[in-house]
Amino acid sequence: MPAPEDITATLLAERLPLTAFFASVTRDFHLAEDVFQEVCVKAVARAESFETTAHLMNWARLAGKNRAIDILRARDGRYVGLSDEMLALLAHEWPDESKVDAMQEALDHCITQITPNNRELLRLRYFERRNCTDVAAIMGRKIETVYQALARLHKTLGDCIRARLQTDSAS
Amino acid sequence: MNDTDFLAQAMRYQDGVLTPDELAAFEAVMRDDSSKRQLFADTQVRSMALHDRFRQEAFRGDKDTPVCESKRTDKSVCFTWITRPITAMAAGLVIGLFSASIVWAISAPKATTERLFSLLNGSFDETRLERGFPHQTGFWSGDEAEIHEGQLRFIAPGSDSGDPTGRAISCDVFQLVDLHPLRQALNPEGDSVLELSADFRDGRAPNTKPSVSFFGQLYLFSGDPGSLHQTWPQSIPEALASGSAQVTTLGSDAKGVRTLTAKCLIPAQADFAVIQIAARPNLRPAKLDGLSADNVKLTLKNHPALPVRIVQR
Repeated sequence: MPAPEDITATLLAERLPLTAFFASVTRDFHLAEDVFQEVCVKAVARAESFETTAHLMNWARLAGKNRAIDILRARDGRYVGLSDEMLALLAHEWPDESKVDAMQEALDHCITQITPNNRELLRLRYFERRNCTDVAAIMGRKIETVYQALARLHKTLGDCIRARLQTDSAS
Repeated sequence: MNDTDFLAQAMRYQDGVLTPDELAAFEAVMRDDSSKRQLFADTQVRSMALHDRFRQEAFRGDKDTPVCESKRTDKSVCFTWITRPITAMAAGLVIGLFSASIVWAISAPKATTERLFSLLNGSFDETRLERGFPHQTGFWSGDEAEIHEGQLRFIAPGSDSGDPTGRAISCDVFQLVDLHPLRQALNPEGDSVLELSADFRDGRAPNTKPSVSFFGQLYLFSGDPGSLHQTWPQSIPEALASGSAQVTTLGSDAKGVRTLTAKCLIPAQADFAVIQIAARPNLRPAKLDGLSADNVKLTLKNHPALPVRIVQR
């Protein structure tokens, strides 16, 4: 059974992948962060019920997913998104902290390689939390062009991160 | 479906614009292809990392400098926003509510109680507004702004007095709030949450550039509120807990006034709160005409609701 301080440390370390998983349900980063905080409170309060770290993480993903769906149902009257079955499948394979830490360091490098226009695209999307309709209006582009640009940019960043990680592991 | 087309669908999913048929097809692709599930997961995690990164950059004031250098050695510096509340939580929570049955996970939430807390002049009925980071509790103070007709009007970004070499990136107005009277109302189980809410209005013409980001933030500290001005903002990492909410606008639009709510857990050792409301033009220099805030409230909530789901092992 993990000690309460171990539970806290585990959840802290897993914050980014957990919050990203919750955002797969909420499609809103701030809401996902709120869900993460609530899950942490309840996890620590129920520390004795967790037998292993894997048990804790399974519980956290399930509790957060359920909480996120409940919030959306209360707010919008219904939940429209990935099915329970798909979310369960994703949860089972979701990356953990060990992969995410390295990804973040590689991202720090890769983001310096993109053009100012692409950086602005990311800033509008991930800082200003604009949808692609808004981004298209702001940048004077067609909506479809923005979706394609964002998709290519994610692919570029993903490829760069993979290459960087391979270089790091080789050296 | 190639990776780029799949990623474009993932972006549409994030925007909530997939039709039911498109959503079903999107799921089918992931169900049949584990590499697409991995691509989706990696994209979600990268998106969250980008969100973190840009948000932290915004308050460092230097868009060209990575938030966290590649060779990080101190994670706490990079994750102050979220990890501090949890660190505080670890110190403050009472552990153990395990029910000795085969049912585990989440129990039914208890009723949420809430009450307004002692933030003064949140509706800006009084005109007292001082300059610089406040030296004591109970009044608004900050960068160039004015209180006019029951609203706080942002006028110009300013640098922090504790960091005179720093760039003026946002117009920040603060209030320090003594938390000692709150302690007796805290939930002994520890899951008490302090919520800051505020209304923000962008009164500029529609689609006015630059965009402006409004922020509502609260930080909880232990110690003497009268000395914090000497070290602000360098002392932010010393906060026991913090919460933040933001919205970006391009002039007035159909959504009108935006209400932001930031929340954070309350560690037992918190002595005072720093309430910060801010307007940040996303291109500088920029005038802040037409930007205002109102109805700033601080609310204590006990037992935040959690999902009523029973899971059997």
